[in-house]
Amino acid sequence: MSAKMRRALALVGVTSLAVVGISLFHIESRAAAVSDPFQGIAVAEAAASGSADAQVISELQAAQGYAPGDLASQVPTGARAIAPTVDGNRAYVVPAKTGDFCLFVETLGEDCITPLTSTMPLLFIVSDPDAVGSGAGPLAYGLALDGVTSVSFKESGVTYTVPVRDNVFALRGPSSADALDVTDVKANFADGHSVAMP
Amino acid sequence: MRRSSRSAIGLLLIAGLVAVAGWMAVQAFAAGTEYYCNGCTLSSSGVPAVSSERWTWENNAIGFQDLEYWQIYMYNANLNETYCPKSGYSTGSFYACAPPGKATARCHLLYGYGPDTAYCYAYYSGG
Repeated sequence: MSAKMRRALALVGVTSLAVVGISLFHIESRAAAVSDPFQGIAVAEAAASGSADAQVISELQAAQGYAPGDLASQVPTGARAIAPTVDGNRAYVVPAKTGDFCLFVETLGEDCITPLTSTMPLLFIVSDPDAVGSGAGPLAYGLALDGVTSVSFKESGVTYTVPVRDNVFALRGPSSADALDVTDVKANFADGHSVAMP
Repeated sequence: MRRSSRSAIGLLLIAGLVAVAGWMAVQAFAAGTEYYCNGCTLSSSGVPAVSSERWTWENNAIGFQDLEYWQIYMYNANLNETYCPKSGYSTGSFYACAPPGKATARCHLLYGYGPDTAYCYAYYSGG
C-alpha cells in the first residue's frame, strides 16, 4: 500500500471517528435532556413506569393519533399511574420523546408541558365540562413542583388558594364561575416565596 | 313516448334518488377528525380558528412546538353559548367534551401570547 493510500485511509478513519464521536455526543446530550421529564415531581418519580392499564394506553394512543403537535411525541407505554386523583379521576404522567411530559386525567383529557422548574413550577389547567356560567363549575387542576404547598388564582374576581398534596391540586369553582376569567396564578412555596405564572 | 323509454327514465330517477340518499346517509354517519387549524398561525389578538359546524363533536385539541397560553372551546352561534372551555399554559392539550347541539370547535391564544403556529383539531362521530 502506498504512502498516499495510507494517508487517505487514515484521513477517512479520523473523519469517521469524528463523525461517530459528534453523533454520540448529540445522542448523549439528547438522552440527558430527556432522561427524566418528571424531575422535581416526587409523586411522578416514585410511580412505576408502564403502570397504566391497556384501556388508558389505548386512550393515550387515540389522543396521540390525532396530533401533529407535541402530543404526538408522548410514549403511552411509559405512562405512570400516580396515587392522587384529580377531582376523583385517576391520573397518569406520560413521558414524551421531546423531553416534555403530559398529564392525563381520565374524563378530563391530557396536557403536555416542558419539565417543571423553579421559575415555571406549575402545570395549571382550567376546564369546564358544560356551558360557561351554568351546570358544573370550572375545575382548576394540575401538577406542582416539589416544595410548592399551595396554588393561588383569581377566578371571576374571587381569589382561591388550593393546597397541593403529593404534587397535585384541584379545585372546582362554583357553577356561576367563568372558566374564561382566571388570572393571577401563583405557586406558593413552603419557604414563603411565591412564583407568578405567565 | 314509448313505454320502455318511460320505464328507463323512471329507473334512472330511482337510481339517482338512491344514490343521493346513500350519499346523505354516508355524510350523516361519517366520523373523522377535522384539522381546523393545520399549522395555521394563531394571532396574539385572540382571534380564534374556527371549525365547520357539526352536531357530533366528541373532543377538541390544540398543539404547539413551544409553550403558549391557549384556549379551546365549542361555540353555539344560535344560542350564543360557549361549551367545554379549557385553557392553560402548555405545549398541547386534548379535551374529551361534547357540546349539546350544533357547534363549532374553536381555538385561540390568550393574554397577548403569539402569534404562533398551531394545530387545532377535533373528532366528530357519525350520527
